[in-house]
Amino acid sequence: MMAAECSAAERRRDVRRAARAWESAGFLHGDARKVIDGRYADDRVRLPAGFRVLAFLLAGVAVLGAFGFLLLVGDGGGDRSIAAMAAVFAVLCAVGTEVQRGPLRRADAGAEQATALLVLVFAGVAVVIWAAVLNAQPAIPLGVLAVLSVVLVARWGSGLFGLLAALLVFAWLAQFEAGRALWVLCALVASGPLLAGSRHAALAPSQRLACWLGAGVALVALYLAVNLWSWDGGWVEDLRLDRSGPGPATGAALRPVMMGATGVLPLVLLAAGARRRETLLVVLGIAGLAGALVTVRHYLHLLPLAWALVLAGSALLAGALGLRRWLRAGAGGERHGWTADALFTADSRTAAVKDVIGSLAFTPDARAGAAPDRTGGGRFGGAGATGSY
Amino acid sequence: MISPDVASAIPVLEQDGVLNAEQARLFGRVARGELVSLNLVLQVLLYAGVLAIAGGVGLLLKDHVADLGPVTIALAVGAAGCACVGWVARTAPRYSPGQVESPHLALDYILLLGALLLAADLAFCEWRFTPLGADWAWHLLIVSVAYAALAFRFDSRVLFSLALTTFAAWRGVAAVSVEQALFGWAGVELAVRLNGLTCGLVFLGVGQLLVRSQVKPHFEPAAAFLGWSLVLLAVAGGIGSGSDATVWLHRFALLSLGLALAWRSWSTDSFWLLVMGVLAAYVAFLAITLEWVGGGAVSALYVALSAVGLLVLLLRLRARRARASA
Repeated sequence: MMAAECSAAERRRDVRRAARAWESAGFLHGDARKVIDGRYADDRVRLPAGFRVLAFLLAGVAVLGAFGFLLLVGDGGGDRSIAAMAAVFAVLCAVGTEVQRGPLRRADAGAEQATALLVLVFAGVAVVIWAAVLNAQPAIPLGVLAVLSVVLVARWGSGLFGLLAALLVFAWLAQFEAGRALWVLCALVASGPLLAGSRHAALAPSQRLACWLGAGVALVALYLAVNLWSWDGGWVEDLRLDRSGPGPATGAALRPVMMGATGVLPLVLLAAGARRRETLLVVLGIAGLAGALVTVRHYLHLLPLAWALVLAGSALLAGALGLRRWLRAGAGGERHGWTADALFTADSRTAAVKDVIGSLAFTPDARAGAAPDRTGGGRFGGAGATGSY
Repeated sequence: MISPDVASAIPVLEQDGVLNAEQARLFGRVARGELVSLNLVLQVLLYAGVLAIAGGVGLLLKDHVADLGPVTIALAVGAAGCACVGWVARTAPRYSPGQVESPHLALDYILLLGALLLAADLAFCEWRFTPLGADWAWHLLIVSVAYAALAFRFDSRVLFSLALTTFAAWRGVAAVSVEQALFGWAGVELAVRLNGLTCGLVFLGVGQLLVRSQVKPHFEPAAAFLGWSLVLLAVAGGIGSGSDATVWLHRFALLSLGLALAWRSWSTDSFWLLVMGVLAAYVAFLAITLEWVGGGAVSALYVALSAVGLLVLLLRLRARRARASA
């Protein structure tokens, strides 16, 4: 659904970005990087980070200022007028975004990101006001916004929209009576395809990022839905905007299941992450384990909080250093495709990295482009030379 | 992150001789997700571990004095802090005025843990045994100097930033507590702002000194960022309240400082300082001109149009600069 030329521009930018990373690490000669830049040339108008932030903020201020002006000129005009004007602004922002991304060829330029985000903001204002006027249930505006954000992800990509879309979908599901069950179901159904999407060549890079973040939100939601503390405390049910519904989840039969899932799900995520070499799953698995320990401590006061923190911190330090040592001791400095070292640095112990450094050492001026501003000393003495121990 | 587009480009680049076989193999494995680094995750775990231990020790000092005895606690925490710094001293390379590459992933984090433990220990001793008495705020200065010394010796930007913020905290706390005689005439708000302004200027001077002396010049961005933040916040604090003369003085000062920062960072490509400078100047400009524009709908339109005008101006200046450099 994303315009073909936008998708192609994103793909070319990914290759150029990778080449720049290789060059800045000293693994690619500057001339080779220029060749890659030429082959995957940019046809977009982009701005550097600082300008992008300024353009984003100023464009946002300009649009919101214009909205405020019309509101004040019309003296509000009642809820329906405000909602109608917000809807008109949402459409105008959508058109503005399309014009900037299409004919004006803007990408990573700030202003088009501001107008894209304002589509969701103005649509949110319009839908919420209309829902209040029509006395509709809160699930309806959330559902509309969730669908809209998914459409925006499909059209414009963006990690931010991916994150917002996933949050809105789960906020919407929480409004139903079986909200917790829907969270579990939705997370189980969606997380796999989203993770697959984050690696799928058919999607543009920004859509892949949106999928990746969406999968993260789905898995966090899954853990929150099955966590024992959340079950007993009715955390998911507390998200209902309509307070007339039932309170916290009940059901003695399911409590042991939640108890088990609190501890087992993080381990499953860790195992799946290790097997798939998916950092997101590993990170969520570790965070889930921390959540499980906090939950255990909530029910069983085994230790004072101070000692628990000291012990947990020490375990984290020891675990991180132990894992690093174990990975580094593997054949070629890696195990099952995991390495503890940063990949594109000269002092990595990963054999694949050292091979590249070795191959470059025989190429005249091969590393001239890197010009590393380091004074570590003795680091570039040949293949695999390193100052680390 | 895995990138199918990069993965599909690599064989083509290898075939055309842009990449050699080893490069293509490594880059391809990374792009296909066959080789993944856990470096960042390990660093986050180490940082979380340091924060958890420091938080736990803080609670220990606060809640368990009666159980363990103040001397025992002070000695134990001090010993733990010294052990951390001692390990870092043994592991770290010799001092160099330039940037030193860390020889161990955990070095920065263990150093941070040691510094935090020693600072917590000092705070505990000050609270429990009150060696400084009414001049207790000085202990923040001592901690700041100690952080700075460790930062320079072991080349830690995190500790350098912590040293600067602790120094600023010392000035803020001292101005409203133990230095009432000195700043009592100004009132709390003005005293804090004056101290913030002075701190900011000192940090900017320190940054320049580091660059000129070539002693840890890579610390300069942290000093510049904190320095400008303090200076701009101190001046911005006065644009809304006070007598007419001081309000106008603050508005024009903020405008001038913002423009100066924007101009300087434009020429040095310091993009985040540029953002800070432009926004400060824009806020001051609005504060000055909105007085004449009036309120209500017109002011909203004025804000919208001025934002568009500034955006267009910035884009044109950038385009002109890009043409000039091309």
